Amino acid sequence: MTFGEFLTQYAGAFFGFLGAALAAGLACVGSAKGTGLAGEAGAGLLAEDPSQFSKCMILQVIPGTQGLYGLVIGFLALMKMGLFSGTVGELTIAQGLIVLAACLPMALGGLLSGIAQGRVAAASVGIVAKNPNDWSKGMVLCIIVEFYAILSLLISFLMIMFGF
Amino acid sequence: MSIVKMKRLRLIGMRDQRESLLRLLQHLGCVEIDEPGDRSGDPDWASLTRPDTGALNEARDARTSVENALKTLKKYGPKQKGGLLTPRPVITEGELFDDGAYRTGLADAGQLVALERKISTLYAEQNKLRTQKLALAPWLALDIPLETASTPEVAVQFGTVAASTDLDAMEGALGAVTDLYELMRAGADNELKYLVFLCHRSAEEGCQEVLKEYGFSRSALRGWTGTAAENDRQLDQKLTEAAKELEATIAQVGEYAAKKGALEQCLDRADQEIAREEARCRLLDSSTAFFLEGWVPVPDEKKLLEQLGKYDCCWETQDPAPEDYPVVPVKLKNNKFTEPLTTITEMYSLPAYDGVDPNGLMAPFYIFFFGFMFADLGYGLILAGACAFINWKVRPKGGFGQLIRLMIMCGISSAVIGFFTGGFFSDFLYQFTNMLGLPQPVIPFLSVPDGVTGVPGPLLNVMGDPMTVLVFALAVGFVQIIVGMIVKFWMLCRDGQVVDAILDIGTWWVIFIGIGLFAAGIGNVAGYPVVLIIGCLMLLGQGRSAKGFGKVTAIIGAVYNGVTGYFGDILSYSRLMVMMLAGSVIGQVFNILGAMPGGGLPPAIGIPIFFVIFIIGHAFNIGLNVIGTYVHTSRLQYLEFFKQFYKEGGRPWRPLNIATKYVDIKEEQ
Repeated sequence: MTFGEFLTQYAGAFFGFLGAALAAGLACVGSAKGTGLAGEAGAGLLAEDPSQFSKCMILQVIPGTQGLYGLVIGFLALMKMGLFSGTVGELTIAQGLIVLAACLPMALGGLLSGIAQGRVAAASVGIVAKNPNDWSKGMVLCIIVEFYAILSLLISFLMIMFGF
Repeated sequence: MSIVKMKRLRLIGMRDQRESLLRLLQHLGCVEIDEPGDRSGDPDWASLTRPDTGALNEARDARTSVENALKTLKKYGPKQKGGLLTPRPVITEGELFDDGAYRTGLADAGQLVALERKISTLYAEQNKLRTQKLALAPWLALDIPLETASTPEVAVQFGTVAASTDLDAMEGALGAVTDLYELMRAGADNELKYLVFLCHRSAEEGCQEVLKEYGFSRSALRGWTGTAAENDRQLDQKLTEAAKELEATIAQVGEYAAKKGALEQCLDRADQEIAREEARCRLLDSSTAFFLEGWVPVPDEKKLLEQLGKYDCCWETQDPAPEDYPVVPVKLKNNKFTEPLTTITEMYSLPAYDGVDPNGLMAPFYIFFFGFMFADLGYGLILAGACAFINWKVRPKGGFGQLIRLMIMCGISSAVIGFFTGGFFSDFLYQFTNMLGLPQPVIPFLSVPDGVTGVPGPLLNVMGDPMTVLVFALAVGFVQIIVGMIVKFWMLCRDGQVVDAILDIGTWWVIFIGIGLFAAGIGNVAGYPVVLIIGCLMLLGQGRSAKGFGKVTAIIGAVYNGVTGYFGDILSYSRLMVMMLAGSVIGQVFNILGAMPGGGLPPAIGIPIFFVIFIIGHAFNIGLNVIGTYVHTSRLQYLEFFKQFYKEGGRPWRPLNIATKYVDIKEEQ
């Protein structure tokens, strides 16, 4: 088998899988860091005032959605590549590269927005500590960051669904 | 749907009727009593005094006591059943203000606070006993009494050396000095070895040097009599007694569990007392009369003045002057449909007294936008149903109640829009029937048409045709912005600034129309888009208030701000489509995940697996989407809609009224 043949046979699927892996993997890293930051701050408050558990928990899970979005994009990419219908081997290099490119917004957007949102959530734990009645405002601030993860999801979705 | 007109109320009454008058005002709940204006320059006014704050402090103390009692009950009492969904009891105003019940409640609260103090003392006692037990622990093996003292012949020392000390070597060194000694080993822990040293007085000096060399330090065991083991037994006994007493005291707290409701009512009553006393402290007193200044809404004026006629007092009411508008409190008058939007308005800021109540203007857009983003028949019915249930069961008050009622309407809107856009738990119908190998059910709008039955398909299909939805979303946004501009136009005309209205806002309308006509290619005169040109010429009016070269920069600034502003605002409405799509996509992925294992298995196993994944996934998606949609719908109102016309900064009207947290007051006629 020449190198050219090798590429023709495997590179399409490889690039497609790489895209799905990045979308799911990096977005999950972003969520893990985000929920981790918020969780640390929440645990600090709960040591003082355990009755605020539900509020801290909601703030902590907000940065967790990026991981889900990444999973959705990764999943849609695998579906588009034909993994579930068994046609993944027929993927051309061009199609594989399209999937890879389509996954990048979600991978980067999910990674960075998850971390940024985690920082807002961690700071919002301070609102819960000082003014528990105003904590919903902290939640609103977190959701503003969420929008950019949704935009990443949207553009990745459009590229995957209508890319080829 | 409007801001209620307020009037300044000034009233002078007799001090002996003051208590009864304040109670009447609290019952009517239509007067906000505020600080009287500053008249200190006038010697007659300066001689007036403030009422004493004794009763206010008393009411605050009562509140603190009841609050602590409830905390004690929560901490030590039995677990109360029922949670968020327990409805509040309904009582009459007479019952709330029943002094007998209030006194009983305060007495119970006092008892509970005393019990709490006793519990704290017992815990402290237990800690002390445990510390003593720990101090005794190393001496337990010793069979001589701890108070054993030196005699003229024999020196006795209790003490410790470091755990690393070699005791045998130490004994050897002592043995080299004298035979008349005894080193008793009492015990050891990680850090120290505990010793009793006895020796004859004759050898004491020599032995001391050896002890010093080995780092022997004396322990203070004063206050103990008898052996360590005896003391330890006594401490154990005391600990058992303390534990028993603690248990009994906690049980006593538990006996008050049935009085929780009465205590909560008592807390509500104390709050009313505080509100009335705070209002009283804002009055000014002479020796026999008092002066009150406040705000009364015009619709309540007649009712109030009728009641005031029964008292020996004189009063006047006055419309506020425009320069007083910043201090006039703002009350929004709303009907059942627009009232829930108050929570959204308040989260931003109330309108200024001379502004516009945005609730009615915002309501149709808010409910439509929410429905459009959430758009799902199933989700919408769940949201509306859950909120309707809470509303019926708990009758929530205040901002939370408004939010719940708003969500009922938004849920219905989502269900309707979801139906027409083909969303029922995203594409549940398709995935589920596909998994079972059945044909897709044919339901108008909900199912994608097969082209045979002629049943209409979804009016907007966000998954299949996102572009159309995007254009639709931007168009709806354009409509909302135009509505905002109309309101601003009207406000300027109302204030007599017709020229400003036409030049600042009318200009943009002409330009918008011009762009529309230009794009459609109609209305051109000699090949020029006349309307657009007129609009652009009207932009020159933006320089009207500037001078010299400032006119040019003012016009350029206005054009730049206008173009980027309106362009950016309209683009922002793309989130309508984005949120709609995000919800559908995530829901669809859960449906596919559920259908995937079910596809290869027999339906009896496949269907349960499908529904487990379906329920978890969609519950998650609903939670996520409700929060996201709520925030983005509100954001569109605050940033894009309010920007066009809103004048914020109103101070909320806070009348002296009966505001309860734990009970509801029955309306009496």
